[in-house]
Amino acid sequence: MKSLRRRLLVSLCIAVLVVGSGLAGIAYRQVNRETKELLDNQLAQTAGIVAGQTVDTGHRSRDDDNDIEVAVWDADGRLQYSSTARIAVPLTHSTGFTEMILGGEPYRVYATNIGGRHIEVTQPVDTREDQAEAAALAAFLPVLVLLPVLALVIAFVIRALLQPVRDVAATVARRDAFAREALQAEGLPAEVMPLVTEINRLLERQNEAVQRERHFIADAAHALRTPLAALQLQADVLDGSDDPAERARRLSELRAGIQRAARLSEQLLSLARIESDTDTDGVGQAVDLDAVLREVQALYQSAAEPQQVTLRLDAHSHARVRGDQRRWLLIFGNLLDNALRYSPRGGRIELLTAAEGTAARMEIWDEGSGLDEDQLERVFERFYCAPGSGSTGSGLGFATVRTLVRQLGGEVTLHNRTDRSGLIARVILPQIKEESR
Amino acid sequence: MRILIVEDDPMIGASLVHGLTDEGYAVDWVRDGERAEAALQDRLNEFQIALLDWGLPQKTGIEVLRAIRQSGNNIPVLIITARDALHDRVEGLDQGADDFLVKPFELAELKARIRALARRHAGRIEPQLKTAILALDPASRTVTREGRRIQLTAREYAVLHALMQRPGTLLSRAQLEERIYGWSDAVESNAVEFLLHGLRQKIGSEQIENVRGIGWRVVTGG
Repeated sequence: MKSLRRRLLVSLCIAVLVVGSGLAGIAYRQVNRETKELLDNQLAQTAGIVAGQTVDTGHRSRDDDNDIEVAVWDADGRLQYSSTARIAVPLTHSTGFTEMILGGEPYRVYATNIGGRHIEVTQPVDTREDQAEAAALAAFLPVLVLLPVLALVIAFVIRALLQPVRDVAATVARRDAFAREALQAEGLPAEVMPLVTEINRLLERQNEAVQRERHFIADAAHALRTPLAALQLQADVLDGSDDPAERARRLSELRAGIQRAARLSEQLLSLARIESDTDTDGVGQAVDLDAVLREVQALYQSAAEPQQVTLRLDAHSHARVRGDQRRWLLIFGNLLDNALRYSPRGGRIELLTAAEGTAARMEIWDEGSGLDEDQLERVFERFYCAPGSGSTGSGLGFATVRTLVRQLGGEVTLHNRTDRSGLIARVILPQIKEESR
Repeated sequence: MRILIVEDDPMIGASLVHGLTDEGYAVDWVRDGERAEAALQDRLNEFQIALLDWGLPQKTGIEVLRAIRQSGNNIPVLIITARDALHDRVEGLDQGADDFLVKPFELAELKARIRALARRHAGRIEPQLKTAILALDPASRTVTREGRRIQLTAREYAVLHALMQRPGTLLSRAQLEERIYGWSDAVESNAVEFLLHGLRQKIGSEQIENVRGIGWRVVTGG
């Protein structure tokens, strides 16, 4: 993991080091050069002072500290004065600054002609270098000493600035998995705020999902209780009668109870699977709506026979819609199950498809008793059973259908037939254009 | 004893009817709140106990309970519900329910609770119903005369049970019919007399006294 703090610290320290040494280097060279110019000026000044003096007074005209030596010649080239005997300064006929080796050592020499005399001022190069060095170092050293101080300051500032991030991290680390409250966003720097805001949004979404799951589990537990209670009682009363016919009747009731419990658990599983369906396999496929309905009709023919219910098919939409066979069989299967459950004996169920512009419409008409207007939407709630339906349905069929249809980008609604002679289940969804086949 | 079952689930309702009929109770079953309230408010129906489901169409169980309690009906009510949250139970009991059973439950427990409710409602402590000579045990559904076991049919047992709820109390033929037959039972005009005749032969005719024109009662003393 890359630490922002360490990277900031390292890069800033490198920058400080580079810029600092650069500055120090420039300062060093600058001071060094300026010191030498200063020393040159000093040589020239010394020459000027010597020129203003009467040489033969024997006045020592040399600067001890700077090892400056002076030699004066008269117009005829005779040495009038030399401040030292250690080195023999040669008489040069040129003027200005030169460097020469005297007595094995390099010297800086300034020569000038003033008032008919030739004056030469010398200084050892080593002395000059020493002085320039000392001056340069004096300028350079404080920078060098301050660099680590600067690094410390940078480290401290970075640490202080990143504290809110660490605080947020610590808060997140301490959180309970099911903690619901949002992270505190007050007083956070603007750069960290979006992160915290996004985390809070995520938490919110997660809370919603957790709540949904909890409700589902509570609802499921509740919904399972009724069929289980029925099973328990059906088993309890099995041997309560001595009449073989009564016993047979109770046994068949128990069987029906088992079937109901099995169907409910199946539908629960199916709905849970659909709702958490992250694999959208087949959603992108295209199916022929008419063909699916023909298949559904064939599948349910035998289920409709005992009730003498006729399944009439009118499927000529030629519409193609999203989805795969499995989903569509679940959708129409659930709708048809419901239509069959409420169909009167000898009734008729109509299945029809139609293409309307960009949409495809599919309807199942039954001849049941329909639903009260306020129930038409409520029956799509999970585990909701219309009151007085007297049925042993799971209350999951319509919820499953709606989840599936919406996954395919459509919508499913229920309508009473105008004369309340039955229910219409209507699925509307976008058609897939022929070209995209 | 006559019991009203209020349950909208067809399977649970049917099984409860089977189980309680087997036990010798007269059982009636309604599937929604409005019919339940109507049945309970009708004084002609001599229900001794009501089993009330919480989630009902038309009117919820709690609405039914509130309504009958407000009208002064003190019938013992046993709630049977799939909702087991504490506040549901508290609310049910506070609204005047006498007991609470959470689905799923076993028939044996329901029957025991029904017996307990009947006992409490009659103000008895002892589970057995007794006269000086006879003893009736609702739990085992056995009748003994001076310690000797007597075999009775389910209907005969029901008649004796009704008479022994409060030994010495007179019950008319109509009252006895009410307590031993449900709505769906076809009652012959002299069925009660016929049952009493059989019953008296088995337990001793002196144990049941007929007050002509009024009804019957069990004799309390020896």
